[in-house]
Amino acid sequence: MFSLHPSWTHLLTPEIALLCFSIIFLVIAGLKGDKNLRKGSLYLSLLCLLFTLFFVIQLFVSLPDKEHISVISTSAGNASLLIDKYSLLFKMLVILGGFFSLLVSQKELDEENAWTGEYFALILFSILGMMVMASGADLLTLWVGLETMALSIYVLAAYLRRKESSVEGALKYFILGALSSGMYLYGVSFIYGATSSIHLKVLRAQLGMMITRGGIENIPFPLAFGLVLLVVSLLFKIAIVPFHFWTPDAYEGATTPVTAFMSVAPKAAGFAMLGRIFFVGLIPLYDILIPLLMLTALLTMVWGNIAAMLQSNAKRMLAYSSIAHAGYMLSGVIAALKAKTDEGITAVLFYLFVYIFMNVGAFSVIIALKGNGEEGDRMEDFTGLFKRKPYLAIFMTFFLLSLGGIPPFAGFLGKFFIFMSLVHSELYLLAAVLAITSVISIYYYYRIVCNMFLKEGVEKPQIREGFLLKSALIIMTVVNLFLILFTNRIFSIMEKGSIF
Amino acid sequence: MAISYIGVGFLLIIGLLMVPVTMILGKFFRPSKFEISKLEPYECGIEVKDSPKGRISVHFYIVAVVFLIFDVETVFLFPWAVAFDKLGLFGFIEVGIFLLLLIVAYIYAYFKGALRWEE
Repeated sequence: MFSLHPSWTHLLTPEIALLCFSIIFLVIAGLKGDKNLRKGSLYLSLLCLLFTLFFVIQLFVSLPDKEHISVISTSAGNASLLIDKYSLLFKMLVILGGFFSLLVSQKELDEENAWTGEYFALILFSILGMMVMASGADLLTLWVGLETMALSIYVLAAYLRRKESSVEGALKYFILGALSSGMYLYGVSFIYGATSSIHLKVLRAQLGMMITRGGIENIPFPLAFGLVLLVVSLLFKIAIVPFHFWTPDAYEGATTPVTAFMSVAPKAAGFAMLGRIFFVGLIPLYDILIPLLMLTALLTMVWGNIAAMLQSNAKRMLAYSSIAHAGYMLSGVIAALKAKTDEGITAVLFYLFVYIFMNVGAFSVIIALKGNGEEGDRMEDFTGLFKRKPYLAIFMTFFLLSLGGIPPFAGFLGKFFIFMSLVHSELYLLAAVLAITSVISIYYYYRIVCNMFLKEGVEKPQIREGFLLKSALIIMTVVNLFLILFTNRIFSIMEKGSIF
Repeated sequence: MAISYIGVGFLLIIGLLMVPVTMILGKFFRPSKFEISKLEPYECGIEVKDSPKGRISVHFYIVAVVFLIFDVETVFLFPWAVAFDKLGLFGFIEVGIFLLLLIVAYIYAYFKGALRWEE
């Protein structure tokens, strides 16, 4: 039936370790404990994620380049779970996203008085799901990972269950998420009916055969229908216009560390899954995929940035800006599809890496502003921040400039590599729109900067951050400022994430 | 290829026709006499106690979820037991992990008081 790789325990160390950790956290969550136990479990969960990251890095170093090792495969040799540098890089990104979101959550949990053990267990479980998404090589394994992630995040989105907006956003997210999961499964059932396999490699071979025999028209209708549903549900998960409607409400309603987590980690995992399905399974279809994805990417970049201009809530604005950023990253994927080289994938990986630091940074300033019964996420809450807390205002400016793509901040490099990959694959329209919409984005990022520095704010009580949030802010700022000095080194690491 | 699905199509049509056809046929054969007891929710003799719109403890929901844990367990254990010879050691370890995860979920539910009734 199935065969396991001889050293599967070694190859799956990070997953097994993380599973054990999250089980421990679930049992701790069941115990009756006071606040100190919960605070202890915050530090413990950070430690667990560092351990998992260490295992992933160890595997990454020991693995040869450009080799896809199948850990679980059928007797015919079709892999269900692949370990390669591509998946390991995405796993690192996901773990980093989870780590920083946990790092900034102490203050928020204090303010809301919402210390529960389930918070940590759910974040670890969702990271486990994302790791499976990065490694999966057949449509159902990918789906199992996707659902492990999504179910945990639905609960996390409704974490403040007494707050109306939180429940509303989570419910919208859940209903639309369940719909897209249903579409995915429905599409997979059609694909299975037409190709009698769920493995991406078989799908690729069959698609290639059909197209060489009679072109695109030779694909039977049920298979085409299934493929459309598959692609749509994937685009839904990474919030691409016109499948983005859940994003602003879910982001605004969720508690801010969870929003930070939702905006970086699932996005990375979604891109891992999308890349795997596109480049292993659907690559023979690039002729139709490219114009289709180009249209959605253009819409995403334009609409994400325009809608962000109209927001009066900083979290909502960052939600729309994260939609726009997903559009930038999708253009990188299109570049890789067109040129059939790893350059676009490398750019996407680099972008995701940078994106963790700038986006979680911006959200952590919002967390710092919360207090004394105020949410701290309206635009007015930023007025006069420079007078009250100079360094917080300066940090926020760095993050926003980085998000807008101003050199020498890290965000510029991310956009630069995507832009280069677009130019190299001769997608000039996408490159132009990327550049123009980045300029538009500067406008709404500067609204916050303008509020912080130029406007006089009313006298407000002192802001307290706490040790963990302070250290997180400092790490993000340092990375955003000085990443440019290590561009070569990080780029050469990301270059190893080859899918071809 | 489509011809091989013809059986499924027949099944679908027969399934769709089954309910209306039996209902219409029944109309011709059964006697129609009105009795007041026929309007009650259960015609089998149990008397109605109170309105179904009353509030029900949310605890039933949690008990149902706990029941689901065990129900899913048996659903997966049964095919495994039937195909035990073929699956071998791989299947045995997999089911072991599966049971372990369910037991953890059960322990969590137990500690959270899902099975306690007194408030």
